[in-house]
Amino acid sequence: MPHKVLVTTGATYPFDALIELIFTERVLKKLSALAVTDLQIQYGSTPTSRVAYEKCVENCYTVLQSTGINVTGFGITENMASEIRSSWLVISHAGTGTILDTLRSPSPKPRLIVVPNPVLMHGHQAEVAAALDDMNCLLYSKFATEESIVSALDKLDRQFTELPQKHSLADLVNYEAGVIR
Amino acid sequence: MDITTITIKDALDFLSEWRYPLILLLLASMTAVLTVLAILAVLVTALVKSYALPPKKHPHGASAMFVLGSGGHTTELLGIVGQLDFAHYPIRTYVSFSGDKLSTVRALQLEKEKSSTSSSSAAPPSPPSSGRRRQSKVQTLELPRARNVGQSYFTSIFTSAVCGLECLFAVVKVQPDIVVCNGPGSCVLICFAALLLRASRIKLTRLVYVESFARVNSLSLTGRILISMVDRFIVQWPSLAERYKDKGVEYFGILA
Repeated sequence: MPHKVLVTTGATYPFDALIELIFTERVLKKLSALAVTDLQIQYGSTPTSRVAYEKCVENCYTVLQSTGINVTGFGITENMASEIRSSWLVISHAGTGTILDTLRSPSPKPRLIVVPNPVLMHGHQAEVAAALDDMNCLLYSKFATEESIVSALDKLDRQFTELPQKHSLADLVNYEAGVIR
Repeated sequence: MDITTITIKDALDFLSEWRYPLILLLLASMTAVLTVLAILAVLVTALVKSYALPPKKHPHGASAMFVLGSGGHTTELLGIVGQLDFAHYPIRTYVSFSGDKLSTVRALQLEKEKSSTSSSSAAPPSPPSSGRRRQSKVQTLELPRARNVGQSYFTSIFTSAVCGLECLFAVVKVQPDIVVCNGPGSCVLICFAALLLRASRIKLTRLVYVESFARVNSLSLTGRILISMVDRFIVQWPSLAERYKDKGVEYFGILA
């Protein structure tokens, strides 16, 4: 069975650092050791990110040849949810959308590593990822460094906890609207 | 008799003096200020009292207004709307803000999905078939934004005013029984407008605010503004529930 890794940078802010991080010899070799066969990169909607992605692939040509990892890339897609579902591992920026799509996807669920965009660190974006890491639902790599991501990749064989069931607010809304007889 | 004559004479003398217009102006402005204060006091009292009232019963269906914030906010809110039985909400209004066509599209998509599933499965719990059932109506409104990304604070005063007026028109026109919102920014103005409806007793619109799943340790600015104004304030993380428990914040678990 092919092992696909999906790397997502989000649609709004460029996160070229994450792409560059994946295309380092150390990370690629680590992925290869984890029996990864396909690497899919969502690089974002800005043209510079596309250039950055293409440059990375070019630079890593020999490593990719030797490891046999097949690389594909796209800017953004409407079918993100199905791309996530067909993955074995998702390495994502700290977007809540991607996190929820991954943790709510049907079994077998992809594993999830979240790397927050350092540019957005002043915001609260990474809080969700950190909180879900505490709940053992995903792996949170606090820094966008080789060290941090390789140590996250080392922990992938653990048993992850399911995200608790979504609670319905219907009863509360029905009560407030006075529609329950 | 004497006293009266003197008083009237005195009064006439007084009025003929140069101070007369000034006194009149003072009296007029005092009356105006007092009237405004009295109206405000009546409105505020009515509003404060309205929080203690239980929700009004709408056994024949309610009118609901859903405020779609954009992006992740819209995803979360439509998730909640999707859980509702539309048979209870014959009148549904989706509000979005200019430049966010996608929210409207996604709301209509949800409407389509819901109508196809409800007609294929068992018939919705129809109320006693009296003619009092509210006519079903789905509408989408696109209002101007309070503030565009990167807009200066000075010009945003004017755009907010325009947005506020449009929100007021929309809320007065729709007169929703319930407003459900989850931010950001512009939904505050919808809530203000709904509170005006409540204060003037036109409609006792109930307000439900859901803080985003993305807020783990601190409330959003919108949340901090609305926390003491809405009937129900729901957060999705226990840390937030603990921190704001004195403010009546509720936590049930993850809603997203």
